[in-house]
Amino acid sequence: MLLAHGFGCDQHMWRFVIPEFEKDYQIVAFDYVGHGHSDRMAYNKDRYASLQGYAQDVLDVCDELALKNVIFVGHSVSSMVGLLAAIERPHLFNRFIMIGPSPCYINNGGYTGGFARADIEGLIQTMEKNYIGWANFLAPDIMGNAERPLLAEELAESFCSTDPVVARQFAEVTFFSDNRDDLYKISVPSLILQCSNDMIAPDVVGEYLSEHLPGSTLYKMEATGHCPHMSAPDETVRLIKKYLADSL
Amino acid sequence: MTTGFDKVSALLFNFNVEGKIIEANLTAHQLLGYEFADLAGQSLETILPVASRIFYQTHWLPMLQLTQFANELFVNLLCKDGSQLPVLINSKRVVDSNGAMMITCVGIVIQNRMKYEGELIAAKQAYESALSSNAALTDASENLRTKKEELEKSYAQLERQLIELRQINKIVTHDIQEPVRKLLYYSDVLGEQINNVEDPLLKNVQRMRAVTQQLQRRVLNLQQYVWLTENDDLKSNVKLDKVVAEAKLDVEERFGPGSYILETTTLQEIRGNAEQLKLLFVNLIDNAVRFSAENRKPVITIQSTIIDRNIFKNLKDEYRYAPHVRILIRDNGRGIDSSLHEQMFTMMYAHDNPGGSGMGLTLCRKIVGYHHGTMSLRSNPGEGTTVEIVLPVE
Repeated sequence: MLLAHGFGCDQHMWRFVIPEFEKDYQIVAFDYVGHGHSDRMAYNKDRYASLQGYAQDVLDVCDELALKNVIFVGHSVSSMVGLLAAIERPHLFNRFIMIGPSPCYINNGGYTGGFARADIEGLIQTMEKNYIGWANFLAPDIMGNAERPLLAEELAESFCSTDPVVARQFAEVTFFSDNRDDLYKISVPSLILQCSNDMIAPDVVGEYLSEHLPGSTLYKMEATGHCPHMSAPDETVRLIKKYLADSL
Repeated sequence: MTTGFDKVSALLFNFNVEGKIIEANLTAHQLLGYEFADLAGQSLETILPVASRIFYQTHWLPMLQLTQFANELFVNLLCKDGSQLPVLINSKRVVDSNGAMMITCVGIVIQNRMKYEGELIAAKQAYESALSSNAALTDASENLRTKKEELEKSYAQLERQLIELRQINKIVTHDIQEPVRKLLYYSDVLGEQINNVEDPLLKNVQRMRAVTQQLQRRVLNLQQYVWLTENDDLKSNVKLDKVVAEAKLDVEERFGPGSYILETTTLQEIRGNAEQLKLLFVNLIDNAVRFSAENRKPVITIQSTIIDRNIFKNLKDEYRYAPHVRILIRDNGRGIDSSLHEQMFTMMYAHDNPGGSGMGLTLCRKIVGYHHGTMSLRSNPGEGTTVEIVLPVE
C-alpha cells in the first residue's frame, strides 16, 4: 500500500491511518521531492512543472523498492498523480484509493471545478505572505539548524514544512492541472472517497469523476472538509477496508 | 451585553470543527461590518474568501489536527461589503466545557504592514528571479561549451560512419544485387532445361532458387536499412491511420486477402517520415502473421493513447514533458520467450522464420529511434506478443 500526500502537507498526514493497515499490508509512505524530509537538492523546476514529474516520483519509489500489485492511496491532487503513473505503467497498480480527488479545479465551460483562476492567484498570494510572516508555520526546516535541541511541539510544527519555491510551483501545478482527458486512459479499479462539504473537491466533482473514470466506485463520507484521513480517520479506514474487502 | 474583552483591539472568535462560528467579539463584528452577535451560527465561509478557504483546508486545518496550534498565519478575511481585511492569526484547538472540539482565534489587522510586505515580496521575487536566471545562464553557457565539444567529436565520428555506410550501400545495391539477380535468372533457365520432372537435379535447382530468393530478400532489407540512414530528416505530418491501412494492403499482398484480421482504433496524426512509418507497420504486421499460432487465424489489434513523456531520454536531469502517442500492437501468435526479447532486436538475428530476413525488428527499432521514440516487447510463449511503441507527437 503506497500512500501519497497531497498539497499542503507531507507524509505525516497519514499517521492516523497507517497503524490500521500495517498488519495486512506492506506500507510505503513518502514525501514528494521538495516536501517533508526529502532531499531539496533533488528538486528540478522543469521536472516538477507538471504533475508528470510527481508521477515520476511515484514510479521511482515503486522501482527503487521493486513494488508490485500496488494499492495506491492518494490524497487530493495525488489521486491524479497516481492516475498518471498508472497510465505510464498500467501493470504496476492493483487498486486506487482516491481521497478528495479532482480532475480539474478550475471552472471551464460547462464543467464545474469549484474555482476561478483569480481564487487560485489569491491562494498563491496568501501563501507568499505566510512565508514572510511565518516564524514556525510552514517554515522550512530552519529549526533543524538551531543550536538547541528540538522541543516536541516544534518538531510537530515543522512536519508540514515546505520550501516556499516548491510550494508555490506545486500550488500552480495542482490547481491549474486538467486531467479530464486522462481519465478514460486507464481502468484500474478505484475508490473515490467524497467528503461532505469539501470545498476543494465538491460533490459535483466527485460525481463527474465517478461518471468518467472507468471502474470507479464512489463512497460519500460523513466526514466534512478535505482531509478525512486526519479529521475522521476511523470512517476513512472503515471505508477503505470495506472497499478492499468487497473488491479484492 | 459587551465586556472589555469585546472591545479589545483584536478580532476574537472561535468556531467548531464543522466550520460554524460559535462566537465573535464586538471588534470582529465592527471590523467585518456586521451588527453585534450576527456572526454567531454563521458558517466560517461567511468571513473567509475563497483563497483563504483553500488555505484553511490545505494548510491551516491540517496543522491544527496534527498539532494543537497554528500560529502567525496570514489570511484575508471577508467583510460584509465584499472588501477584504488582512489579518495575522494565532489559533489553537481546545476542548470546551461540553467536551466538544473548538478552535479559538486571535486576529490583528495588519493593513499598513501589508503595504511594506507587498513591496518586500516583490523585491524578493525580483531578486530570486534575477538570481535564478543568472545561475541558469552560467549553467547554460557551461553546458553549451561541453555540448559543443561533444558535438564536435560525434560529428567527426558520424562523418566517418556515413562514408562507410555509403560504401556498404554501394556494395549492397550494385555488387551483390546484380549477381543475385543473375543467379535467379540462371536457375530459372536451368530449371526450364530439365524436361523430366522426376529428375533429382530439378529438386536441387529449386532449392538453389529458394535460397537465392532468401538472399535477395535479405539484400533488399539491408538496402532498406541503409536507405533509412540516408533519409532520416524527411518529416511531415503523417496520418497513422492511413499508414496502417497502406501497410495492411502490403502485407495482404504477401499472405493473401483474408489471411489475417487487423483491428485498429483511431490513430493520431504525428510528425514523422511516412515511408519509414509504413515500413515499420509492414514489418510489425508481417511478423505477427508470420509467427502466428498453428491453429489460430492471426488476429492483430492496434490501439493508441496519448501520454506525456519526458523528451529527454539520454540527458540526465533534463525534463520537458510533451505529448507522445503510445501504440500497442497485440497479436494472438506463438509468443516469444522473454530471454530472447533483447536478442530479437540485434541485427541479423534470424528466428526460425520461414522467409524472414532476420532484420524486421532491427529495422523497426531503427525507425522508432529516428522518430525519437522507444520500442519494447511483452510476450510469453503461447500467449501472443504485444509490441509497445511510443513516439513523440511533434
